[in-house]
Amino acid sequence: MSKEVSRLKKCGAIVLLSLFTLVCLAVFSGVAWAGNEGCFACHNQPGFKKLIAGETVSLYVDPDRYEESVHGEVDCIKCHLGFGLMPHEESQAKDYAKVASMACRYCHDEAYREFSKSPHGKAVEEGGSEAPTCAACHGSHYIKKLETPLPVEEKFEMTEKCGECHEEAWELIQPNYHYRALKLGHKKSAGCADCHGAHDIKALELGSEETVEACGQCHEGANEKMAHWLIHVEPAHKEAPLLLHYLYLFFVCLTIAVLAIFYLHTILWFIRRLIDRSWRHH
Amino acid sequence: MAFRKQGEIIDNKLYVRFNAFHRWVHFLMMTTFTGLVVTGLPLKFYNAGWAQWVMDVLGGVKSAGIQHRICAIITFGYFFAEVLWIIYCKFVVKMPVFTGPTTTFLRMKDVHDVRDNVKYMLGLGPEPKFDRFTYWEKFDYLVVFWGVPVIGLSGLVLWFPGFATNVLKLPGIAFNMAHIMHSDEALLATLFIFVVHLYNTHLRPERFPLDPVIFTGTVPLEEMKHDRLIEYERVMKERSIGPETGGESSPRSSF
Repeated sequence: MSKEVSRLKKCGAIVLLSLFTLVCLAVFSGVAWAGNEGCFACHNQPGFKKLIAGETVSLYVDPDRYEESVHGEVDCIKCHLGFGLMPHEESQAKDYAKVASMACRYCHDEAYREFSKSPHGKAVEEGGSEAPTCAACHGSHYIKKLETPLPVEEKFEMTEKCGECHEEAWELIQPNYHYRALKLGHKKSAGCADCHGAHDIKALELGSEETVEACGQCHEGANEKMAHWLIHVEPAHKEAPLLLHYLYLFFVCLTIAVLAIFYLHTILWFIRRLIDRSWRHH
Repeated sequence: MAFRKQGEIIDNKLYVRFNAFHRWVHFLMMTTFTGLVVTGLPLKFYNAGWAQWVMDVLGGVKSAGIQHRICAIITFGYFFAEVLWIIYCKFVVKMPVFTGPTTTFLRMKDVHDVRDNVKYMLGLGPEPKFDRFTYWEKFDYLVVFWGVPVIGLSGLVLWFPGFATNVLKLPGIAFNMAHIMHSDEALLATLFIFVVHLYNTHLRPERFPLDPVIFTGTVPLEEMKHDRLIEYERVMKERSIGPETGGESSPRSSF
């Protein structure tokens, strides 16, 4: 009996020792998560970039700016899922950026739910590098803490963001009072998101109920007629509604004609006085 | 400040060209117009470097908007005061407001004066003789009856969008039209007043640097002889006196 027991004990010891060795190998081969500093050891170099699925992607993150950001305490792998292994495999997935930039939903689920039902959400589903992911509008690593109410300069900056993709709409909003007042710092004016929504984005058709509601947020008594106001229009463009385009042309011509006649009158009169020196009788 | 009657001659030297009402209306017009321009132009030229600065100096966009609307209300005020003055002069005092020699409205003489003055500028003839208001002064006066309604009414539509759509039942495109009218006519007015009107009144070499008549109301009789001979001769004839003896005030016959 004692011979068998001692053999069992030997086997057990060998198994335990092997297990222990394996665990040590596992730990010290870096399988476990080493914290953000581990990531920054490589990703803190400006200019660190990689060709991924045909596009040059920057892999640089400024550690100080990240720590100062609202997500400074958040582990990298909370968003960059699957990169906890060190060294990590390089992702070749075409939609990698979409995956990472959509990781926001794990904490910001309400915004995500609204977003996913919107045309922007559907565009992200379809994929592509132009898709309006969370990061496309909000940035990824240096997001500031949200101030309420949103400072007017930040609200304005967001309109520039919208304009990066919606170039024509941005062009056509330029004459609009709301846009100009916002740009000049009017706290109560409307940015793109005030009318179109931020996450539950909607294109607003002229005269629709949604549009009346959008106007009604600030303008008491907003009705269908108000919702027919052409907000995104530049009368100087040939494609603007004819009525506006010709009204604009009328005023341009009137201005040029009146000023041409009277500026000429002023100049000729002035020259005549200089020639005559005929002011000296006073 | 004495409330002199328009047409009076003081000390045989000064002619009262503008009475207190004229001068007050003009003063209000001058200050509110400038106010409207300063508070409005930054919105029109919102991308210009100075636009943000002006808005900040005014206390922000909302504050500038309030100042703009206050000036607008005063503008409506003096405009209606002037309309009432015209009605008073025509129907109460029975002056020939529209057709008389002292009218601010255009007559055939003004058409001839334009031709003659341009010929004079080109060295092709003598300077014409003028009556109470020259053609350029009439133009300055009459354009206000175009500018204030156009800019004022379009401004009211923009100011009261709820009223415009709910009560007046204006279609949405009316806002777009109002915006064009308001913005473009205001620019025209600005470029006209600050260049042409200012030249006609103060910057002309014979007036430079300032003609005080719009502030004091009075102009030297000698100057009247040179600049408005027709009015001078009629005023002298009405008094049946020469410039040597003292003048008495006569019934107001001039608009």
